[in-house]
Amino acid sequence: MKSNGNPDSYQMAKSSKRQKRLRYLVFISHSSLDAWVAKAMVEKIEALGAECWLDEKDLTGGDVIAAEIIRGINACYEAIVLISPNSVKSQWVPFEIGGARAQHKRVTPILNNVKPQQMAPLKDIKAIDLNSFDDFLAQLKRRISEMRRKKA
Amino acid sequence: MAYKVFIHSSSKDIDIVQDLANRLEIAGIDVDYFNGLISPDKPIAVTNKALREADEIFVILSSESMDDPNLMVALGAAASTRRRVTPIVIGLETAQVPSLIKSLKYVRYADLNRYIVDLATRTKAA
Repeated sequence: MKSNGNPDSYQMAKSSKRQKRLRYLVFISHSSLDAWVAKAMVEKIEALGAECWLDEKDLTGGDVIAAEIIRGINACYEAIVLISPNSVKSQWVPFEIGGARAQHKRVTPILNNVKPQQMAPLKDIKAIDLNSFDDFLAQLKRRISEMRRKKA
Repeated sequence: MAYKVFIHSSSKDIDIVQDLANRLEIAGIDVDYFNGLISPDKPIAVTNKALREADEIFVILSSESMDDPNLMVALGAAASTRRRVTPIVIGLETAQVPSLIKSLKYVRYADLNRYIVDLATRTKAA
């Protein structure tokens, strides 16, 4: 937002710039068949003050899907991958894993009724079971605080 | 410096990779490839290293390998690092080609000679 010379407008522009700098974006990779679980995870993550990239809300008609996914990955601090019997059959989930890992972003597999080895491209990463999602949230909260402390 | 192509494939398509590598080398293009046999536990590390060194990535997709998630990982990694990525589709009907591949410009194996000629021309002109 640009300032128009008005002091209020200047303060708003400054505040918006600061908010953008302190924005912590989490990319959510999942199968569309697990949309309900993904949305529940998003609610919990956003309650910590982070933002989420989720295909259903961030993709709109006419978007080039692969390009928009890569833009989301570029912008995120970290990604979580919901691994389920549905996502192990998905083409887009491994595409997103490759995109995030090529950029050396932190990727956390969240397991929902699957074994870690069922998603081969992530078997070298410690996974968290969906039933222990609160553990992930506690770790995420620390990372968000750390990032904001460094950038404040 | 010669244009370098990295070929990513499933181990099931090694014969196709070797044929493709020969054809590219004859056209004067440097080739490196990963067929799932090298460091099977670390395909992402191998892919990422190869991506850094390549100008273009070929990903082989056949009826034997279309369910291999590592191919989609390679596509995502290539797209994410802004490398030119070209899926090579073999023996699949259009309806069988995954939507992700359809969203990219892919080359059918039958049209490969023409693509290699275009590639050689493009790299010589660069």
